[in-house]
Amino acid sequence: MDEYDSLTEAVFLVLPQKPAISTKAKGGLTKADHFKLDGFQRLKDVNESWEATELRHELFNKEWDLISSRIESIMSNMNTVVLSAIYEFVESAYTPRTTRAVMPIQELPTGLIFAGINVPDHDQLFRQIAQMLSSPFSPSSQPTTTSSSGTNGFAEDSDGNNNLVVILQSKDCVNLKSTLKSMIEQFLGLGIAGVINPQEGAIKLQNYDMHVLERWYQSLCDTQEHQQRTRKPPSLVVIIQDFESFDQDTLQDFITICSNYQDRIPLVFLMGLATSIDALHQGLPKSALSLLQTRKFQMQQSSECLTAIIDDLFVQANVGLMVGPLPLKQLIDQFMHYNFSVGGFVANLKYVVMHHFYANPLSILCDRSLSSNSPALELLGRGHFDHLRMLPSFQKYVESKVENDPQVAEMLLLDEEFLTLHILELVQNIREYHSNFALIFDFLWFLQSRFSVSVLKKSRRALYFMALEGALTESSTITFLLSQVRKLNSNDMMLFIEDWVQFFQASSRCQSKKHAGELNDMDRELVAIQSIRDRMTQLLEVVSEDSATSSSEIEDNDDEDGVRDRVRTIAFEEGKAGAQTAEVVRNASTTSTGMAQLSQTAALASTITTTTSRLNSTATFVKKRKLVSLKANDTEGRQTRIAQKTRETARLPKGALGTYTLLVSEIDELLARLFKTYLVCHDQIPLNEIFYYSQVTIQQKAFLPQPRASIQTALGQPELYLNCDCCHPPAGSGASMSLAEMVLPTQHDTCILYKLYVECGRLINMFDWFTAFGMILERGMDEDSNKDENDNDSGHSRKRAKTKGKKDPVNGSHKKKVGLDQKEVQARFITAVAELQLMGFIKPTNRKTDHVQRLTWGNI
Amino acid sequence: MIDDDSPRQLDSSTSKRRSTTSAETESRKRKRRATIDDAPWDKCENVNEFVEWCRKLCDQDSTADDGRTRGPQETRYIVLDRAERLRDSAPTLIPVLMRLQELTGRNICVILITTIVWEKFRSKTGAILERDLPEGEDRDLYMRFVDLVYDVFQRNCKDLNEIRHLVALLFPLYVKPVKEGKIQKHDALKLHRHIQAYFVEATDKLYLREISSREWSDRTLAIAPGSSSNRAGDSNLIRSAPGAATSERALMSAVEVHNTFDLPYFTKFILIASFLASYNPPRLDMRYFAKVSNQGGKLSRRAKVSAVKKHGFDQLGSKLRQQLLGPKTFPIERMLAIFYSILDEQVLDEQVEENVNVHTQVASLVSLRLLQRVTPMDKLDSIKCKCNVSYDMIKALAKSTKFDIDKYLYDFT
Repeated sequence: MDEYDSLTEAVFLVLPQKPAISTKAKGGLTKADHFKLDGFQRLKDVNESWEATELRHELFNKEWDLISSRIESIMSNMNTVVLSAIYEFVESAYTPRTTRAVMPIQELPTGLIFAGINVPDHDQLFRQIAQMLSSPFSPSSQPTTTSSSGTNGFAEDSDGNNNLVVILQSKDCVNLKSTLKSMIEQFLGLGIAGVINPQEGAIKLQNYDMHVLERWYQSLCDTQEHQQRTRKPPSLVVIIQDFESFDQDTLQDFITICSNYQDRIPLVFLMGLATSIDALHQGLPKSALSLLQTRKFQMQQSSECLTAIIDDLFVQANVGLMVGPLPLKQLIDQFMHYNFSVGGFVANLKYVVMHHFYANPLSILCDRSLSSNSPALELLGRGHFDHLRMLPSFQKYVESKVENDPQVAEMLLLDEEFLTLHILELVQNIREYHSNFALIFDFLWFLQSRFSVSVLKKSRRALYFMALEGALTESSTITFLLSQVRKLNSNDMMLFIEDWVQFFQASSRCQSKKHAGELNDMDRELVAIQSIRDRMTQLLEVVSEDSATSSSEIEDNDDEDGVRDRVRTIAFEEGKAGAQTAEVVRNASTTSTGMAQLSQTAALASTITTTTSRLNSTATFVKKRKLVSLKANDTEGRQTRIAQKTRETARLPKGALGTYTLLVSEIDELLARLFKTYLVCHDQIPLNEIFYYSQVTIQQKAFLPQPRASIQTALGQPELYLNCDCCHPPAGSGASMSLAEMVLPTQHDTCILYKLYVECGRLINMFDWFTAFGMILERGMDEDSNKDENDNDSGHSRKRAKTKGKKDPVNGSHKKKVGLDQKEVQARFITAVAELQLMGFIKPTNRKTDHVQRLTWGNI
Repeated sequence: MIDDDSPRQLDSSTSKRRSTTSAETESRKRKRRATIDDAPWDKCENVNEFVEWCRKLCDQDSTADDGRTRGPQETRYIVLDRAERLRDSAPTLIPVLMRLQELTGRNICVILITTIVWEKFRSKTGAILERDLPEGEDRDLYMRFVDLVYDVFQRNCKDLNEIRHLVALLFPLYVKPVKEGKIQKHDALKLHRHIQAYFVEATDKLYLREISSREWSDRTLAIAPGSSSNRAGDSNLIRSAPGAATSERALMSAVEVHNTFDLPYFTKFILIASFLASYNPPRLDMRYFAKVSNQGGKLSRRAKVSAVKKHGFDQLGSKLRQQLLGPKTFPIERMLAIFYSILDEQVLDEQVEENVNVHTQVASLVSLRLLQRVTPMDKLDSIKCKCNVSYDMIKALAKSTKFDIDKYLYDFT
């Protein structure tokens, strides 16, 4: 039985020691390329060239570098505030504080860092903290922002590090000795120059003795004093990374010891808490707690980090590769449902990126800097074009072209050079779409934060997800927001439009253009909005003027000078109007202060407008708008009802109301059109498949493994894995039984045993099991011999041996024998039982002799 | 620390002898060691005199009734019956008596006989706390404050260091209005009212170390001046109260903010499932969680009662209630079965399949000490756990996932 391939045998993975040698041995450049390209292979179906493979590999590296660097910067940005607070805390821990109360007992300064429940991610975070603390600069970009002057002194002091940081992890700290040892060794290992031998003196100190640390610290301070001028001695920072996992008694003793040494060694603790402060209170007794002077630091919630990452990568489209709705849902679900692990998310995302560039031949086009002279276009081969033409979005595009421009459609399908040029255009289009999408999405967000009540608010992530699915444009969110805009009164509407214009102007999309010729969609939209705004302003002016003087002078200049003039005249007229209104109001025996004030402000505004040297049109409008609203407020606030009534009638002249309604509906239409055009689902855009990764199963397989299900499938339906043709149901049974329910002698021993096992109860009689197993083997024997006799086909067993490979050589080899050796059956039975036990299906029991206990129930 | 420079008038007559037979009541209700033989009655004017007398008496050799001679090294006793009355007399008297041996340098033992507990005697720990007097502060004011703190906190706190801690943190707040000139130094009532809000807060938060000394001093010193300066012009008394109130709110919110943490969606259910597994008896699992049983698998109220009756104890208040006994251990498989059962009901739109992540999350819950692993780490088979989470937290979790936990809990209030 030595040839039998048992699962119980250990399997060793022998890595090639030197890839160079293996390359030489195997010969050929392909092997070297294989390593160089991280296993990227030529895609045979498109018959691509090596250059294309290399390009895909290169693009993958470029893309992933971009993504990971962006994620890293986001993550560090998210926590900057907290990190600088921690820095400050550590720095000020041992500086004398004059303002604070003098404490009777020196407490150990302890920072409690609430870092979220995903412990594996903490490694990186705490490394970051340690690095930050031991560097001489505060994490905040300007070192002078720190408040106290005392801490500023050394921030500029660039040489040497301030704090010595060690990280203690629970796995190194099983008891007090090992904890102390680990801490001391790490401190000593930081290798500060000029450290004297701490073990001097008569008694050799143990390596967990705090005296070692104390002497080392003294010598450290001495040497530092020599080297440097007046300077705060460094603090020793001990980071207890995973507080919850520590043995609480050990920690308690550790804290007590450290607090006793506090007057000699300035120790600062930082404790990483994954849950809440309760863990600290439950874990440590009062006596230990009273030695700590705690300070809480809340790290950014990891779900917010995720939102920020998705926002930056995909919504803002800062990277080339996008993730389609299904994979994104998978990514997010994995995060939200299981682990809150940003690290896991990043790994998952990397897999996605890798798979996209690995398997998709068109990914050579997935390049942000794709231009007419980039090599990718030249590498396109026949297979690429075929692939391209098979893309659903491309087909749709061609179909739309057939109606408008049949010649182009034909060219697209037949002429490859034309297609190549067209690809460029389409890729450009997608890029355009992304940037437009980002802006309008931001605008939608802006709109929502402005109008929505908290209940109806959707998170950015949810909104983006809807957009990916294509449900956003029809969603209730947008309808609701539009209705909110319609309900605005005239003043708020004006304010809203101003903000709107500013929002667009502030966006990089509209700013970046250098030449007037390079107008993009957003600029056109901006113009549309501005024209609405102008008309709105005019209308409001008319209304306000009408309300005062019933005069209507409308100037319709769009150039800036005209605007300035108009402002001046309007201001002037409003001054007049104010005076006149004041008279009217006085006649109506009401207080005139409001109007007097109004005229003053109007005059003031006019002087301001004239003195402003560079008259930005927006600024003017803002002022004017203020003026208008001020006027409205003042008058409405101070007038009596009669005066108000007279004003109301005067306020809305004939026609103005109608114009206003028209304008509002125009705004409404514009908004709806904006959302509909630019938030359109990505699958409407031709060639989106190049940029959007949309497969989900492979990712699921890799990141949501189901070991038990796989094992059970392997045992229950081995044909699915082995892909053999020997395991077909006997002719008589037909389709009434599925293959999974049948026990076939051709199957692997363990599978046979497993199928018998499934039919057993809690306790399995070994002998019965063995007998049943033997019967099945015998049945197979009979069939085989029958077949052999009938067909006289000896190739059958050979074929089976081939298809099953080494998996079942015994099965194959003994087939020719007529009788079944009982010893062999027993041996095979025992092996199979051992395998089942290894996989955790049975375990030995003492309850009944010759029985084993069944451990699994149900089929997953 | 007895203040020897300020002699107190002890107009009580004291008598000193070393026999132990009886005691007599003397003037001012003080009972002192009485004599059987008619030793001359002497009167001590003050403590010093008393101490002197003690020395003198001890130094005399005397012959007791049994005829044995007692040398100066022999222990002499002062027994005071109904010693609680001593508290009414001069404040230094008890300390003197307590440390009589130290003061006289003789071997004297003082025995107090009383019906009340000892704590009531030690009215003032002030003497020790006096050493903590911050520099440049008024001693009287400080001592008054120390008394106040002691009165307030003595019930809860027997630890001298804790009291020192509290005094150090609260005193700056106490003197602040004085320093700002709003309240006169001797206006004890106003000061008391001013500090009272902080006392309440301190008992809740500071003493329990929910917030640390540093956070406390940061906040109280930062917030209080701002809020009081906002209302310049009001009267002192009114001003101090809202100032305290705002700081109180700030403290509360600061603590609350940090006291919550979020768990992934399925992890919440794992925790809920383990809570159910820990507190529900396994025999009822079928009724609660099996999908095939009638009434959707839920135990009706009546069924619950009958189940209880069958097993012979009351619905509530039974000694055997798991709620009172604490969490029970459960095999991890049982918990997972409950987990999939409740998850099936909760998550309707998608099929939740067993995968590695569920087990990873169980491990991470163990490492977070929300689950407690009972079996040793090297035993991989049949792991058993306990749920280490309070009902309140589970309730909050269930609420956040919109899961009706009470429907599944047996015999729980």
